[in-house]
This record gives sequence, C-alpha cells and structure tokens, in this order.
Amino acid sequence: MRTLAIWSIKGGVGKTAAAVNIAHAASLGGTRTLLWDLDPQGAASFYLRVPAQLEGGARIVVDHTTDLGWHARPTEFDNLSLLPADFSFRRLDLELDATKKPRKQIARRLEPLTPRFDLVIMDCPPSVSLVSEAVVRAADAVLVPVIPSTLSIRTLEQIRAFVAEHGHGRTELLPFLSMVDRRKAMHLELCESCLADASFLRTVIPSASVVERMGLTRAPVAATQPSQPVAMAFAALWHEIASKLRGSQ
Amino acid sequence: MQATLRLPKESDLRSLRGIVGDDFDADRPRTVRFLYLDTFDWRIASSGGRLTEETTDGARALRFIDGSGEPPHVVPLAVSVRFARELPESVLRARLESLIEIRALLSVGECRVERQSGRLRSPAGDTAVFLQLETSTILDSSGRATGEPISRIEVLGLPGFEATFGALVQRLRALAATSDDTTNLMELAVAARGRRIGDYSSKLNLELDSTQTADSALRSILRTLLGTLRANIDGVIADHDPEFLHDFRVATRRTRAALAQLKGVLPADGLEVFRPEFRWLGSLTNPCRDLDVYLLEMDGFRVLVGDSAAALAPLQAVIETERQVALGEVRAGLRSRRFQSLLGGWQAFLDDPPPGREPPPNASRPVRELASQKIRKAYRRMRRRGLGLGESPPLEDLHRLRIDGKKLRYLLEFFRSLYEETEIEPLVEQLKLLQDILGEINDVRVQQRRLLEFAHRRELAGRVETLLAMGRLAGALQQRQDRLRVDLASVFPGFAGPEGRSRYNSLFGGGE
Repeated sequence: MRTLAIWSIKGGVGKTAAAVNIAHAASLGGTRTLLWDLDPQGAASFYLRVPAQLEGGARIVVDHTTDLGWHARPTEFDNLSLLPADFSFRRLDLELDATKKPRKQIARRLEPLTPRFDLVIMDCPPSVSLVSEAVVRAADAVLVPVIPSTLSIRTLEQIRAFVAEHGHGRTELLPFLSMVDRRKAMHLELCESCLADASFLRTVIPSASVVERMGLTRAPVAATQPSQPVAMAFAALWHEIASKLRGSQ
Repeated sequence: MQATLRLPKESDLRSLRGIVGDDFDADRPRTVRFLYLDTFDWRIASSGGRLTEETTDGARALRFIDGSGEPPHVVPLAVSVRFARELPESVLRARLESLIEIRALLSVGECRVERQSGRLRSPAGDTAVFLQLETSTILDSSGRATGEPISRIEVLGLPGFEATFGALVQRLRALAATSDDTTNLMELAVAARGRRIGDYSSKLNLELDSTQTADSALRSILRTLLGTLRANIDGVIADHDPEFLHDFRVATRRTRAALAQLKGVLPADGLEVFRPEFRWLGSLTNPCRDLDVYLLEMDGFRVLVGDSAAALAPLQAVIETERQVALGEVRAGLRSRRFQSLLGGWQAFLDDPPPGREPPPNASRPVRELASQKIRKAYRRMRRRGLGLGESPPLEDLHRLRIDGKKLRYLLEFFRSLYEETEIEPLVEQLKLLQDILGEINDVRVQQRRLLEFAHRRELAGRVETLLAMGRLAGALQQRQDRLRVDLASVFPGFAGPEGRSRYNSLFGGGE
C-alpha cells in the first residue's frame, strides 16, 4: 500500500479538488483507493456525497482498539472508498498531543489497511500543525498544489523545509501547478520558472469551471465530463505520480 | 447494511419508483456481459474467491472478490487475459499469480445482465442508499439464452442512514413475490455449460471402504483415473495450459502403476491388451511434457545465467518450435482410432471384465489387507535401494530410486482413505518432500541432456553468444544438481531411518 498526502499551507489552491480527482483517476486504473478526508470542513466528503460525520469523531484517529478501515465508506465508484471527515477534526491536534508518540499515530493507524487498499490519499487541512507533521510522517509522497503566484511559490519553500524536517527520510515532495489560467501572462511566466525546477511534476492542472461546478455535481470531473481537458489532466497527473511512487518503492 | 431481494418478473425501476421514492436518482440503464473465469481445477472458487470479466459499453474490466469481505479489485483491461502474468503489475496480479500459478483462466460461465443502478439521496444530497436492479440471463456455451431471466435488487445502505435503508427494504419485501435472494448466478451459468463448481481436481480424492474387496476397490480407483484422463483430453488438444497434459500423464502413470503393483486382482488375460496401450500413451506424451518443463523453467534459467539472459532467446525459439511439433503428435494420438478404442475398451473392461479361466487370487481379499502388504513391500524396496546407494550415486541409480518412490507414493494415495488420516498424511508429506527433490534431480538430468542435444542444432550453429549462455546454464544446472544431492542426503534418513521404518511398520503391519 502506498500513501500520498495532499497538502498546502495555503488555502484555495485546488487541494481538495485534486485529492478527489486524483483518487478517482487512481480508482479507474484498478487501484483500490481510500481517500481520507482529514479536513474538518469535509469538502472531499461532500464532493463524494458522503456526510462529513464520523461515529467516534476525532478520537478514532488515536483509538487503536478500533479498526480505522471499519469507518471507510464505499462511494459510487469501483475501487474508491472514503474515510469521511468530522467537524471534531478541528481538535485533532489535541487528540494527537494526548498520545505518547503523536507524530507516529497516523502511520501506525494506516498500517492495518494494507490488505484492503493499494493506495491511501490523505486530504489535509491547510495549516501547519501536529496533524500535518503526523501526515507527512505517514506519507510516501507529499503532493503540493502550487498556483502560479509569488506567494504560493514562497509557501512551497516553507513546505520543503517542513517535509525535510518531519518526513521519514524517504518522503518525496511532489509539487504540481494547479489552477493555471493560460490567458494570464503572469501565470505563464511563473509556470515556466516553476517547471524549470525538476522536482515539479510535468502535468499542469488548468483552471476550469467544471472543477468549480464539482460543488453542484458532487462528483469527480471524470465521472461527469470525462472528455474535459481538466479531467484528462488529472488522469495524466495520476500516471505521473504513480510512476514516481513505483520508482521510490 | 446490505440486502438482496429476488423480484417478480419484468420489474423495472419505473415500477419501483413508487416504492423507492422521488428522491431516487437513477443512472442510465446498461447491459453488462459477465464472464465467470476460473482455472479448469477451480482454484479461484475453491479459495472462496470469484473472478469475472465484465464488459459494458465496450469497456472491459476484471473484478476479483476474494471472499474475505475486503473491497474487490477492479482492473480495466484492454484485452482479455488468459494468464495471471498478462495482467499489469499490481496487487491483483500478485494475488492471482499465487492462486492460479501457471494455470490458464477459462471462461466457465456467462450471463448477460440488464443493470439499472441508482441512489437514494438524503435531503442534504448525500447518498443514503445504493440500489442496483439487475435482470440476468444465463447464456449457454453457444451464447444462447437459457432458462427464465432472473430479476433481483441489491440494496446497500450507508452508515448513518439505517432508518432509510430499513424502511426501503421493508417496502420492497412487501411487494408481491419478493423474496430474499439466494440464487447463485455463477452456479447457474456454470451448470449451463454442463459443469459444476469443483467438479475437477487434480488431487486423487478416493473414498474407499475397508470392507471392500480388492477387486471393487481397484476398479473404482481405475475408473476415477479414467475420468481424469477423459476430463483432460479437450484441454490438452486446445493447449490452454501445460497442466492439462501434466494431469493427463499423471493419470496414465497412476493407471500403469496400479496395474503393475496390484497384480492378481483383475483377470490377467483381459488386462494384457491394455498394458502396452497405456505404455504407448506415456511415450506419446513424453517429448511434449519434457519441453513444457523446459519452457516453464526458462524464466529461472534466465536468472541463472545473469546478464547472458537475452542470449537464450534463440534457444527458447528452438524449444517452442519443437514443442509445437511434439504437441501435434500428442493431438494426433488423442484423435486416433487407437486412443478411442483404448478408452472405450478400458471403460468396458472396468465396468464388466471378461470372466477369466479362474478367479484372480487377490480379487476377493479385503482391500486394506492387500494395500498394507503392497505398501510394505514398496517401502522396503525403496528403503533398501536408497540405503544401498553410495556416497555420490550415479544419476541412473537416483532415477531408479525415484521410480520406486513414485510407486510407493501412488499406493499411499490410492489407499489413504483406508487409514487414519493423522497417521498416513505425515507419511505422504514426507515422501512428497523426498520425491520433489528426486524429481528435480531428474528434471535437471533431462535438461542437461537436452541442452547438449540443442547445442548441436543447426538453428543454433554459429550463434556464439547463445552457445556460451547455454554453457553457463549447463554449469549452473550442475551446481543445482549438487545442491539437490545435499538436500536428498538430509531428507532421506528421516524416511529410511528407524523412526520412518517403525511408522511404516506400525501402520501397515509386518516388520522384517
């Protein structure tokens, strides 16, 4: 089982849309995928039409007497399950902090899921906290959406330092360009300079209204409009990530 | 929360909408073609799993459910796969490879399903219940519909929506002629092909009775073996995978061993005709099987020769061509009048043997008495030969030891049901371990000999890299043989030593 975290310190960069669409792209290729919505806002759960409620709340993340997989919900899509968010996740830091080894909790909780899933994608809240430390620790790779703005690129440097400090040594940092508007000259310029950095994934996710409409359709874009360029971009992005994950195995 | 209900004929979602409610959000109806896949010997079904190839709107996917309640594996496919190794690198491939090994996936049943799926939404728009209405038609081997279509509805409630689920299931149950569904579509589809799940196993599962006479027991053993022979003919001819020929040959050898080991049970004069015929069947299939073993080993050989692996390709081509020729001969043999009359004559002999001039001496002895005597004798023979081998015995002698072992193993397998399982199984396992080593030594012997023959082939003349790689292979095979000899020396004493001997003596009586 491989684990992927989607994380950004900055909000509004297309993080949850990426989590849902990448998870769906992986499931279409036959990868049994669990999307774990760790963001108390529960947007990923909403997109997949699962109530953002969890029996037991944030405690299930640290309660080792229960099986985390038991809380996984099937979605409408083959190979795609969702571990929903809960509003109590806003206190997840406190729950983690009350344990002996808070940074190792999430990794330990994921281990028993190995026979059931081939991939776990964690959609993290946009913050720097104990939760992000534990998630980074548990991840094989951290996927960072970067919109072409100077602020967002600066944030990436902070994330890079954070992952170097809190990762398990083999954690890969995979930034990718998100919500790119080709009509904006500055976007194109910044894209070019980002892609000069070899660590960036090559696939660029365009800004698209069908992604915005996910709030209405409540489905991944490839499920409603598979021929849209952005749906194909997410599929290509997943293939790129998959080959990185294979390479690091 | 899940329920599957059988519905009255011709139900569709329009008529169900009244029950399900207006919040029902239906998908476009689809036609799905299901192919149930398994190996000839039901390795998937007997592990509790199920593998289907599903085609809908031209898209094909493989679905594997392992029966443990884990989420299914669903893998999209561009073309049908016949072997686990043809799947893309994945968890599913690894699982199937360990389950079915080199056996081919065959279509064991087919059905066409008209499917309408949908979901019931909560007022907040979340999915509360998944519904799937299916009308399935079983197809026979020529793709024609058989029997009445079967309509059923699957209801899957999501956590948090227990009440919605409960109320819906209750309303569905109240429909006329709705009942809990226990139909096993796969069983029906398999039956439409004239088969039954689990109807073939390469293991010899005989249930003999100690009070049976030797005559009736031997006949039931031979009838079972004849059944195995017949079951594999089509698969050998179609060449689905090498295991058909292997099972066919094992059944032939077991038949020959039974005839040779258990003399004086069936009328001798009637039998004389069949012995040379079964010998013919063995030699007819020998070359093809040797080449099969060679090809199965090829991956291992490539590892053995390391960076010369690519140079073995021309050798593989030579073997593959030769195997086609050998398979052609097997096919011709199995289609020949000689083989047909062997099958027919043998069946007739087993059902109703011609009366001999005088009743065979062992025919009416209790089977267990005869079995114990023969096993004792076979054990002694093998033990004596093994103990008489010197420090590094010639391969010929090891080959003879292996043949002795085979005879003993067949006897144990024929008669295992007559003895306490806890006592006989360890002996079978011990002998199996020994035979595996002896068998591998023999395989290496055959491969070394063939390697030399191949090296003289005109097709390989002047292919220096290939010949050098074959030289490296020969060296590696010699090393393997040496290692196997060491293994043999460590396993044999457990079989032939005082402990092994007393186990055989106590179970089968006697003592020297």
